[in-house]
Amino acid sequence: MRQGRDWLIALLLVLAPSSLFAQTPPLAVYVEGAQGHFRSGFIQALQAAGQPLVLVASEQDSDMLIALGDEAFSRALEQGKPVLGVFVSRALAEKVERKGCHCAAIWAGVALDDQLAMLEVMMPLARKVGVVLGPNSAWSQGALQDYSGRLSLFPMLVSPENELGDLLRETLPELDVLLLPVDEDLFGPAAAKLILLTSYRLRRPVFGPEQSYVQAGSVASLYASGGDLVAEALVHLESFRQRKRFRRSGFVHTPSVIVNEHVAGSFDMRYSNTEALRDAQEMLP
Amino acid sequence: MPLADMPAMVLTPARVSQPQSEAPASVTVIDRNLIEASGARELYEVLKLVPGMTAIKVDGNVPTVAYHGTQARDSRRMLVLLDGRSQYQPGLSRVNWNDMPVDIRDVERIEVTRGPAAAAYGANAFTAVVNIITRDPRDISKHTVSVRGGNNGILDGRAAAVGHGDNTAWRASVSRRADDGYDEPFEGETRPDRKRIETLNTEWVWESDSHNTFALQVGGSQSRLERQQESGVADIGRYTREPVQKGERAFLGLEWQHVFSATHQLKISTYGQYNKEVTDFGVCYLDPFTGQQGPGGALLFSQELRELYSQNGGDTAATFAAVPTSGPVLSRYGSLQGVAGVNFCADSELDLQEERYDLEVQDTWQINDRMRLVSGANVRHDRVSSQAYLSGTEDNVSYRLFGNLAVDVLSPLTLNLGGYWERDQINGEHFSPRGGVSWRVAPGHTLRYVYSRAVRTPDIYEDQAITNIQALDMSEPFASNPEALLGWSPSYFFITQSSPGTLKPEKIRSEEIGYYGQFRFLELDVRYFQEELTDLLSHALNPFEFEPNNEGWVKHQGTEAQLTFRPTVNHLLRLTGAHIHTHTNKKTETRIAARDSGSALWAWQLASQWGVSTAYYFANDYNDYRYERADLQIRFRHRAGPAELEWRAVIQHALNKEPIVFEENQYQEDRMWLELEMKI
Repeated sequence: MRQGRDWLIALLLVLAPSSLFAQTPPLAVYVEGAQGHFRSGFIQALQAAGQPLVLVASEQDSDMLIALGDEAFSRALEQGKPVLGVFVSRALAEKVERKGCHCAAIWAGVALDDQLAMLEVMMPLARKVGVVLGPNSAWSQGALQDYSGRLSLFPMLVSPENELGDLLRETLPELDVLLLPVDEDLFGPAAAKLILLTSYRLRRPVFGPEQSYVQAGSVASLYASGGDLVAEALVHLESFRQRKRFRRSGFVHTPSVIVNEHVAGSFDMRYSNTEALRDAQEMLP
Repeated sequence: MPLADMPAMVLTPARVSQPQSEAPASVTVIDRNLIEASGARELYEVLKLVPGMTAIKVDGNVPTVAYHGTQARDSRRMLVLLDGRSQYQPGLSRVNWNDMPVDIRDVERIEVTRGPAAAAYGANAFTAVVNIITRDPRDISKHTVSVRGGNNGILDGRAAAVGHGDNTAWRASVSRRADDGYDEPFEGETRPDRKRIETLNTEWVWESDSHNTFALQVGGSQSRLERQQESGVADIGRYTREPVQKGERAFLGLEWQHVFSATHQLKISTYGQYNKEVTDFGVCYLDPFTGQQGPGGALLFSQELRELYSQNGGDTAATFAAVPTSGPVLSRYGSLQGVAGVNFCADSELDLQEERYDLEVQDTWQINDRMRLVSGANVRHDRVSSQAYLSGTEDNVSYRLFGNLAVDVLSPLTLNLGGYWERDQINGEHFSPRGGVSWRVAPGHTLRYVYSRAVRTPDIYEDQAITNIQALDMSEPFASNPEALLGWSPSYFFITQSSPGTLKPEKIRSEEIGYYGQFRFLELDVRYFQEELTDLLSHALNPFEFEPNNEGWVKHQGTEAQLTFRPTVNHLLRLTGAHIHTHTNKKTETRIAARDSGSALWAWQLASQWGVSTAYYFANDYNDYRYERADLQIRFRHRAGPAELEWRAVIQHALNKEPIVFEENQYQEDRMWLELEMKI
């Protein structure tokens, strides 16, 4: 009987913290970022989410900061408060985390495995996938090595000695398809033109890295939409509110899909609509 | 994204970039990887990978490439484009694969539209269209030098350079290839079929701004081919100098692409081509009465025998039958007997010069999400000069209008309608239509039905032939005094042929039902077809045999399939097969009409440095001879300082001892060669 009472006490002690947290006050959050539609839309979406949050007007009044983008993230870290970076380059986030910041980040881009799963659905004939990588790309060479799916991944490392144009000319003919990670340094407008035109001439489709590339002529991409980022941020905030520590940094878990139908059609891809694509993708192992 | 930049799985069938599943034809695409995996030395050889295609050397060193082949030496029923320039030659209706001014390593891809495509390309896109697309200089980054040597006199080389500027890029390649042809002696003698060919191919591209791109292409070739003796000549003389064909080619092409908007673009292209071929040979002619060499052989080049030939309606047998009663001929023969102790020997040449000037405007317009239209106009001037075949120069100017419309009628249904109207000075007006429906039954699976008609217009020779084989460099005393000894100067062979000028175009009507599907790592195209070829010019039309008529007909009915399978990343398996029933009223139209034919190619990348590929080809049969060959290629790639080296060893092994089409075409040994390519 005594043993039973001890067990009950132990159970109460374990459950006590969560019940105490349930009574913790809402988080005071300040959103750091360039003024504009994205920031105002992000704030509105947070307010509309119905979570126990208070969006404050200055950093000083906040319990933590949300930083939108790399610049805001770097600025926010100087405030000495916990920071959740949103749409932050993976390289920057990992660099500051190694230095021991009190922060986490939702990385810009999507997970490699997710993009590959979509590619596999749309291109059942594809085998050899070239992945262009730079020093600040959302995926590292290690991530490519960790991939254990059916496709063969060929890292195409861009460096001052290994210029993008030559790399494409040399490597692309031996590949079936090209996949691009999010990398603001690597894939500017000039690079987009070079990549897309070279790949079209050689009839090798390009997937990724995000929606603007798809609008420009890449076949399709998973991408972190504003809504996806808000939803992911809310998960992080709730976790922080309850445990006073961040979840691990990472990509959004449920990205959106965008397909350029003209390009997909030109390449004879198996595709009827984005919903069907998402369904098929979820069926993949 | 501008339409000009849109990627295209296939460009050829309807001139509009479209996915293969929506194209109004069966298409075989052979890209550079497949070309390299095949181990082919010469461009025509890779076309063995196309189902239903014959690609063999029929005439010693002269390839015949024909889709749903009929006549043995027939390459006049298929259109070949090299970067948009027609390689179909106007003089003698043929495609000369030897002299094509391109090396196989200049080629990026080949698209073969199987079935008539005159609705997109006009007359002579009769059974198929082979569209050869060379490498874009913007997609090449390294200079290349390669050498290749092997048995059977194989000695090839190539050097290629490339350069890039801010908005420009260029490439240039020179190549040489040579071999000794078939090596099995025939009737105790080595076949005269050595060949040596040099080519130059260059391209310069300038993107002046985002709306305008200009391209300039310049090149040419020269060739020297040993040719076999003409049987008609060998019957009446002894060759003193074996026939040798020398060829020269040059071309200049310009193209301007202008992008009006993302949905509308214009292309203006123009080119000029020059081609010269001369086959010269020396013969000591036999006295027609004694069958021995002597001065009496000169009778064959006498004016009197020519006149008797004309009086007998061009019938050689009747002419000789009339000789004993022909006073002028007998008199001439008598005077020739006075030239004692000499043989009549002379050189002759079969000469041909062809020029083509072509201007084309093509407009591509995405009218809305459901409709795409390609339309255009073309004007072309062909000029052919030949003493031997035409006794002068003939011109043919043609005007053309074309349009191809692709409409997504309902979401899974695409309708392709096309037509090509043309008028030329020789053949008058023609219209070639095509209609096709593609039904995407499921994502990645499409059924299609295509109906098309096409014509092959008689060429300038077929329509305007007046053959005259002149005696050149005659032996003495004939050279010094031809008028006295032969009755005329210049002096011609007594046989002359004239075309009636009334030949009709050959016609084809084709229907096909096809399926194109993509599965996991597997692509399949199957086609069932029926073709009716009518008004065929089935008989020989050469200076010795000349039977111009449209009496021939052929019916083809059959099935073809091509399958590409990539079970793992390092393996590629490609299978093709064709089963064709051919019915005809002319035996000659069945020479290379194989009932069954096919190919299998397997490429295996063993490691990053090592690769192996092997291929098997068969046709049952060509002229009652079964064709079977197996190829093996081993590739090794490594770096040496700043250079990348690739070694390739290839062996081609005949799996039977059957000759190829004709009994004189045989290999005694396997052909093998070693190649080294350096990129830097």
